[in-house]
Amino acid sequence: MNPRKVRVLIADDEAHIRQLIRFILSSLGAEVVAEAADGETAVRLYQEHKPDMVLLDINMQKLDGMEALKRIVAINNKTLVIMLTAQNALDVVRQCLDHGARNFILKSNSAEELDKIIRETWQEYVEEIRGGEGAHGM
Amino acid sequence: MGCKHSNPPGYAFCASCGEPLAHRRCRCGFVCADNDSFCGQCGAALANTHSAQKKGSAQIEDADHRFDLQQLMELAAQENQYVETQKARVTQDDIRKLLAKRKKRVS
Repeated sequence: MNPRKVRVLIADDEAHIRQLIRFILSSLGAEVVAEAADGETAVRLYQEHKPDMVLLDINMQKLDGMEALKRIVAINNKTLVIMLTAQNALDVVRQCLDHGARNFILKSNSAEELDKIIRETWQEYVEEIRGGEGAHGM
Repeated sequence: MGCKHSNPPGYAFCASCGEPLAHRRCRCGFVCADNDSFCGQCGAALANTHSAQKKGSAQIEDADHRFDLQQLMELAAQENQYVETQKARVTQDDIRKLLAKRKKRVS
């Protein structure tokens, strides 16, 4: 029996970043259930789809990623939220981790590095999400 | 230092002869060389730290419980420098280390 696919929500105002992340995650066997270009939509889609993992940008319209993170964690603090952002200020990183983000990936990494980091991060958490159902396809 | 041994940054005592090295401590706790202008760990400016540390924060308030404005301003400047370091830019490697530290703390 194949273990269920991990369901992911991607929130980023840059369409090409969403496309890149979707491509990487799909190759890892994830199911991208929704995409949002702003924080408000991200929170709404989160409530609608209840994904296992959220990849969240910080600089977004309507509601920034930090506020979206707080709201998502308030809804379900077990959701695995990973920040994916160009913001590389130490205090921002700390704040996100304090508010419940599990990891922080910088967009300033090269495409190859980004791919590598997302794969590593994925492997770090996928077992935890599946809750011992067993890994597949990585 | 008598023995002329070259010690790495952060050393309070000579690793060769054990003599205390001229140093001052930054707000972040890092031991800096006496002639350093900025902290080697967090980047905070050390210029005002030295005089404030020498005087000691207890002496800012005199016997009549009046505060020395100049010294308070020095301390405020130090605080601002510390806050500025919080805006320091990080790399992915720094984030990895930060996460590892947090995990260690939790476990």
